[in-house]
Amino acid sequence: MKTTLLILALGAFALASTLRAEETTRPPINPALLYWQAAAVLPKLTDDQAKDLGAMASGKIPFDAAKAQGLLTSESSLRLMQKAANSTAPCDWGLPTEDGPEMALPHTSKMLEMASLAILGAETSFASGKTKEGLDWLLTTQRMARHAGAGDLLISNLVQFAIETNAIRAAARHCLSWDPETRQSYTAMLQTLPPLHTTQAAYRGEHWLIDWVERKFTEPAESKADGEKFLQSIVAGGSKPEDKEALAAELAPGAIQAALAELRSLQSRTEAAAGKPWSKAEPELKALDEEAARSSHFLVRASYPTPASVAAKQYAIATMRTMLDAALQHGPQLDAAAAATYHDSFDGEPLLLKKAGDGALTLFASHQHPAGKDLSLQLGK
Amino acid sequence: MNAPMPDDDQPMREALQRDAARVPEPPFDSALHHATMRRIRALETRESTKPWFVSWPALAGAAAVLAATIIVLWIPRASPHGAAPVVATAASAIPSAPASLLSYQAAAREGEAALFAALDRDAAELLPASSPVFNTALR
Repeated sequence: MKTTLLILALGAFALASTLRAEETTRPPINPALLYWQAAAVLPKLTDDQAKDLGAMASGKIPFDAAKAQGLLTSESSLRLMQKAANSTAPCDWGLPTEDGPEMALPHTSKMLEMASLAILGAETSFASGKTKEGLDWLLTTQRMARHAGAGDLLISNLVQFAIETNAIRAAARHCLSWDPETRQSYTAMLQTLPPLHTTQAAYRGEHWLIDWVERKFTEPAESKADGEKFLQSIVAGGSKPEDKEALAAELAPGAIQAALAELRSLQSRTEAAAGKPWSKAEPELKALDEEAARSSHFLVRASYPTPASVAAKQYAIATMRTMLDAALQHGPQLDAAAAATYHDSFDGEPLLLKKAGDGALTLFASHQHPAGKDLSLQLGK
Repeated sequence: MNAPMPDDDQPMREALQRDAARVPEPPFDSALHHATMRRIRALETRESTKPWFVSWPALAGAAAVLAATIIVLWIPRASPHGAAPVVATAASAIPSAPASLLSYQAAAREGEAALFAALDRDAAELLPASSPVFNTALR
C-alpha cells in the first residue's frame, strides 16, 4: 500500500513538472504576432467587397450570406484571429515610440478589417442556426476591440470603440431571438472580458509625444528638423498664412518650451477629467477646450484635440453596453417600464424604449451622441 | 581743270535702257490699280491690329522669361518675414508615411469619418501581394 502511494505521489509530481515545463517552454503567444499572421493570409478584397464588408459589419446594409461567404474564404486567417483573440498573453504591438509621430500603426486598419470579418463570422453562424458559434465570434470581435486599443493612443482608442460598437450592434440585432439561457450565458461571458481601454489611459499614453517633441528641440543629439516637421504638419493643409507664421515664431529657440509646457498641463488636466463621471467631466473638458482655444500659443490652439467630443465616446459605448444588458436580461419581454430602470452613462437618465410601426424595438438615451444624433440601439433586425 | 572721270557703269546703264525700251508697256488699268491698292490697305490694317509680340515670337518669349526672372528674384525680398516663409512653404507639403500616427492624426483632425476612410484605405494597401517574380516555382 505504501509502495502504491509512493508511486502515485511520484507520478503526480512528474506530471506536474511536465505541465510546468510545457507552460515554460510554450508560453501563450503575444496576440499581436498572431494577428499579423492572420493579416498576412487574408484574401485580397476587391473595392466592392471591402465596401460590403464594412457596411455589413456596421449594420448599414443587411447581412448577405452569399457575399459573406465570398469574404470568409481564408480559414487559416480566421483561425489565427480566434487564436489571437483568445490568447492570455498581453497584447504588445511593439510600437516604436522613438519614431515619434512617424511611428507606424498599420495594425489599426488591419484590426478594423479583421474585426469586420469576425462580425460576418458571427452573422454567418447565426444565419445557419449555430448560435453558440456566433456568440464565440462576437466575443472574438470584442476581444479584438480590446487588443486594438492596446498601446493607449487616441487613434487606437477610437478604433477600439468602433469595433466594440459594431459588436454590440450585431449582438443587439440577434439577442431577442435567443432563449433565456443563451442570453444569460452571453451576459456571463461578457463579464469575463477585460475592460475597454479608457480615454483617460489614451490621454496618459500620449504624453510621450510631447516628451518626444521636447527632446527634439532641447537635446543636442536629437534632430530638431524632425520636431519641426511634425509641428509643421499641424498647420499643413489649408491653414491660414498667419497660422503658419505664428507657428514659425513658436519654433524659435527657447519659445517652444513654453508652448509644450502649456500643452502638457492641458493634457494632464484632460486626463484627470476624462476619468470622472460625465456630469463632472463634461464641464471640465469644455473649460479645457475653451482654454486651449484661447491660448496665446498657436501650437496649443492647433494641436489640442477637442477633449469633450473624444472623451464622450467612452460614455456612449458604456451606454450602449447598458442597453445591450437590458435586452439580454429581458429579451422580447423588454418594455418601457423595464427599460427605464436602466440609465445612460452620461447624465444617468433612464433609457427610453420605442416601438416602431413594424414592431422593431429601439432603446434610446436622452443624451445625444454625437451632437445632434440620437444615441440608440436597435433590438432585432 | 580736271577732265570729267569716265563713268564705268555708263555702257551697262545704256544697255539696260535699250532693253527696257523694247518691252511693250501695257495701257494703264485703273480698276486693277484700285483693287491692288485695296488689298494693300487691307493687309496693313490687319497687321496693325495684331499685338506686336505676335509678330515677334522670339521677342515675346524673351520678355516672358525676363518677367518671370524679375518676379522670382523680387518676391523673396518683398516678403516682410525673412526667415518665416521657409516654414510656411514647407508646411504646405509635409510628407507623412502611410499608416503612421502622423497621417492618422491629420485625418482625425478632419473628423472621424476622414480617419476611418484613411484606415479603410490603408487596410486595402498594406501587405500588398509580392511581385509576380516570386510566383515562379523554385527550381
